[in-house]
Amino acid sequence: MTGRRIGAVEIAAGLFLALLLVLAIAGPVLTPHDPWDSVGAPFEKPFQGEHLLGTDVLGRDMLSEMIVGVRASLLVGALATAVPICLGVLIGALAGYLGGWIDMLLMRLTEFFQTIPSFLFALILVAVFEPSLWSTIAAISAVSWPPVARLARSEFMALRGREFVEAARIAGHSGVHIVWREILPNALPPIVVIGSLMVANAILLESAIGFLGLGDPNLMSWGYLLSGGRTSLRSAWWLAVFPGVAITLTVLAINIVGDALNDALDPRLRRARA
Amino acid sequence: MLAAIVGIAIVNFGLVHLAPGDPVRMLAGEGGVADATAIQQARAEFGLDRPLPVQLATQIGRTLTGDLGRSFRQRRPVSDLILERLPATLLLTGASLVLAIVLGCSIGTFAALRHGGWADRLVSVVALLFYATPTFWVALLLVLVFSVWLDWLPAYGNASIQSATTAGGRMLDLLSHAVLPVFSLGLYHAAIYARLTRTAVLGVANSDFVRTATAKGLPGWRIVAAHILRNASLPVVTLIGLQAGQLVGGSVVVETIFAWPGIGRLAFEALTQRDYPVLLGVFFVTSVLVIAANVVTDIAYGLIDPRTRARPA
Amino acid sequence: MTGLLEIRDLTIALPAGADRAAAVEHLSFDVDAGEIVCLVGASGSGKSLTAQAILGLLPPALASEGRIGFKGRDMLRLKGAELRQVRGAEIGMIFQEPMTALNPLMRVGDQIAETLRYHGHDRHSAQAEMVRLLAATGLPEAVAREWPFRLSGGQRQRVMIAMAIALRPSLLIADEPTTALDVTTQAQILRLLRDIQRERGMGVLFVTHDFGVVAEIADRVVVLEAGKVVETGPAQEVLRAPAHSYTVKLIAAIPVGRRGASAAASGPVAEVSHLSRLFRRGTAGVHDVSFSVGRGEILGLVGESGSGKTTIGRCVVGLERPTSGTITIRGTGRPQMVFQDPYGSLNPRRTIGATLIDTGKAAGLSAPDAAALARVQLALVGVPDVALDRYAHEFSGGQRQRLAIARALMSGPDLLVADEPVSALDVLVQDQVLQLFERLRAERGLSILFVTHDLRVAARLCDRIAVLDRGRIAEIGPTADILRHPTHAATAALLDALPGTAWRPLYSEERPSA
Repeated sequence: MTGRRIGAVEIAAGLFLALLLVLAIAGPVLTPHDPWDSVGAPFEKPFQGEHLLGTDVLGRDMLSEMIVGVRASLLVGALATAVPICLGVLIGALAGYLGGWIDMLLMRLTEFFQTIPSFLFALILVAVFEPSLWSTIAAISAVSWPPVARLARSEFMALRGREFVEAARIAGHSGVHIVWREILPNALPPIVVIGSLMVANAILLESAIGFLGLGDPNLMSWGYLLSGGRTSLRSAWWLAVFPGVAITLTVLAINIVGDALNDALDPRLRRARA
Repeated sequence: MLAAIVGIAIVNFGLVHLAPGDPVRMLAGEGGVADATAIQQARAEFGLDRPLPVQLATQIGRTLTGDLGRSFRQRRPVSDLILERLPATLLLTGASLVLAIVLGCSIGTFAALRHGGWADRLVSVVALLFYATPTFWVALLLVLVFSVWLDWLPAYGNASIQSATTAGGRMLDLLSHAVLPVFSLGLYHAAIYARLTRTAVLGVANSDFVRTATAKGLPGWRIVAAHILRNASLPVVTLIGLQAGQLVGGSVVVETIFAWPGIGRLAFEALTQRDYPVLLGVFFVTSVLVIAANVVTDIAYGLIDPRTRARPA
Repeated sequence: MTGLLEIRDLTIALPAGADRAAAVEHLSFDVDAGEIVCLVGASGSGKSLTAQAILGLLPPALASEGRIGFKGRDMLRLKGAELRQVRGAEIGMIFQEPMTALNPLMRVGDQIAETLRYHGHDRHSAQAEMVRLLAATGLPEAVAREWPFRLSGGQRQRVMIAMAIALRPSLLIADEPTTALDVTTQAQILRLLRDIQRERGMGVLFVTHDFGVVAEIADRVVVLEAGKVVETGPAQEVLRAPAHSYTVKLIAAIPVGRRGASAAASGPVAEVSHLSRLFRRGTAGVHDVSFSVGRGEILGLVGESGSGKTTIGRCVVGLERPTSGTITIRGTGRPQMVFQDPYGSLNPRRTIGATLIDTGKAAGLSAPDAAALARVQLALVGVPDVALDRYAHEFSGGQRQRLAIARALMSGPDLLVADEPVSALDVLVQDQVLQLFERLRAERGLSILFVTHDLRVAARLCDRIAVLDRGRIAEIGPTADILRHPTHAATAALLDALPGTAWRPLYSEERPSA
């Protein structure tokens, strides 16, 4: 695994993600139709008529729906990663840097939230707080932070005892300086890697929530499209297949880029370079 | 473990009281609170007129004695509903877990031992593919291929309508119904175990004691079996504990797709009907199961690794 | 007489991008039956890779060519079952790191018996032989049922030896087997190896960086410099009259004791009185320790690992809080610390300049003043200015240690606590860093509390030493007095265990000071 170079697969994955980013920003301008308008007969098959990917139960253009859906899926992926990363790093940093009973308390809490069935917990949160974009993000965040907290804690614990951090303590630096300047920059690489994989996981969770019909009903996302596909699987397979392919490709691309990032940031490789 | 169970009871309590709207509507359902007197009655019935700490204490006490409340849709105790459906879910998740561990660990080990070869690359790609594919989508594809197009396996429920008469026939019927759900749920987890096992085996294979074993002139299979796999199993056991919750979560999706009569589907029905007592009951029971699974993996870890046994608990 | 082991023209290529093309180049030497050959060299000289190549243990990325003849076979070309029959049975091997060389999840006895089982012994004879091997390596029989993590480093190394000699191999390869051990444990292991070797008439290839160890154990010596043999010959000849300039340099860099305290210490900069630091888990700790460090004085704290010397140093700089007792610091600035590991002591994500300047600012300097002072300190420790914009990984171990000293000096302390600062360095680099400490003391009047396990370093550098034994000061006084006339058993034990004193005494009459 060591010494792996960026290859064609990694470049393709990166380009695919770049394309998604463009669609997320400019998607609504690029679509052939308004995704909410009925522009054809219901259940038009794909690759046959004017609607490349067919139409759904209301005769809406599948391609337009898919393109507009990029924005919501990526938004959920980004926000439902950023929030738990911040929360997890905060909790993990406090536990790892302060140690003692604070550490014990926070880690018990973290283990508890890591143990309970996270998907079910997320579903309940979405249901209790009414399905919406924000409740989806909140629910995914609420179940995603524990691994980050554990990782951040172990990094902070290990770095706290490193010589250069001790030297900073002896030199009389403030706690803020030590955490921000000495520890955090060294703790970040593994957190960046886990973050990249969390984006993928958040997109998967959003799609599963949407698939069960608990997503935001007023927001065009891949999960929302899937909920339509679930009920008419036997009559119109393409309604479930296209969003599914989109999600798989996206998650795949993020994982490939994340693995490459992992190799690039691997501390063992960095040490070998030294 | 008891602390964790009480913790879940507290989370349930918090969900009811932190949610927007009157808790009465959550516990009694829309139908149960048509007018003011009904609301008062329900409030008294659920003890919602008492101070919060008292309510919390009562609920923890009730939960610990197995009283999970009543479903207002089905007008039956939640615990009965869950117990009825639990065996089906245990069968599904248990079989999926076994499939995932056996398939994932053997494939992961195989790939690691052929590190860098085409077999390793193939395994990595396939594992990554299953890892990246949503569970429900794998389920839908399996239904599409094996049930709709090929018509080999049933896609709904866990028994045929015209039930077989012999015990063996019923068993076969159950198995044929279980194949697709078990694979839908198991393949994603198999991919996870394959990836982790591969990494773990590669990591252990580079360690000093494996070099020692090589220098001792042991045959390759012995080094793998006695030195590499034993040590590589530690992170895998840890992950089994952590993934137990995911397995339960996945069963909600899979049971819904396959109309498998377990508690995952019960939870989905409760979600769509806003039958919160049932939903929270399922959440509680599955949490307890996951905690129990973690206790088991902790014990297994201790059996494998003498160092954890030495530490005072 | 032909050698037991004949290495001819061995070249081990390094992967592209390494600092040189080959780890070892056209290496040739022999090991005869019944003799101990020491392969000596600095870190990175290729000595460990050579040892691994013999048993085919090189990482697959490293290609090797040449010939390693062993009993009529070429080890580089043996494969599969043939190679396996040589490994363990005809050639045994011991590694440097006893903590990681044993499988943590298998009982010690099983690991020894396993070697026998897969080379023809049945269960019963393997079991019986395992018990005999434990006795032969000085381990109690009960150790068989223990897990590796319960054993000390020395015990684990004995277990490694038991496994390596289990099948009465004619050749034993020992790769720095005592480097990770305390000096008294090292002496025991060396004696054990020597005894077993004599008794069985084994050939031994002993890889080491330490000429003291060479003097204790070697019959013949092969000196490596950057992958090439520079000198080879009988140990007596090479040690007494080294022919190659590199060997001469290596031997000259071994610290030699300095007699007579330098400039009489005036007024203490630190006073430690009745210091105790107890740890919850009990054994390691410090009990009622008192001493003072004078201005411009270098006070050595010496002792085995676990004697409490590092803990005292950490208390003085404030990293540990004493359980009881007082530490009074006089003079300017808080005491600063220089650590053992040159790789861990600089923040890998910050430039040297940022680290130095921030340290100055933390001590109250303005940014321009701190920047100016950083240049001054770099000049003082002998690292060019361009270091300011560079990161730690761009420097060698010795340079990093100089940079760590520069950082410690940024706040203008009177007292430096140096915790084994030269233990991780090769002997030539160690010599340079010791010279730097000597210069800082002479030019700046710096006081240094010098923690070390190495009596040779202490004898060269320290004005006074305190010998620590299980958390207490066994004796304290002028270095030469204590090391030449020890009164405490702990000091005597340390001196007795010091390797190579018959060849190079701590204090030499002919050579006053290096």
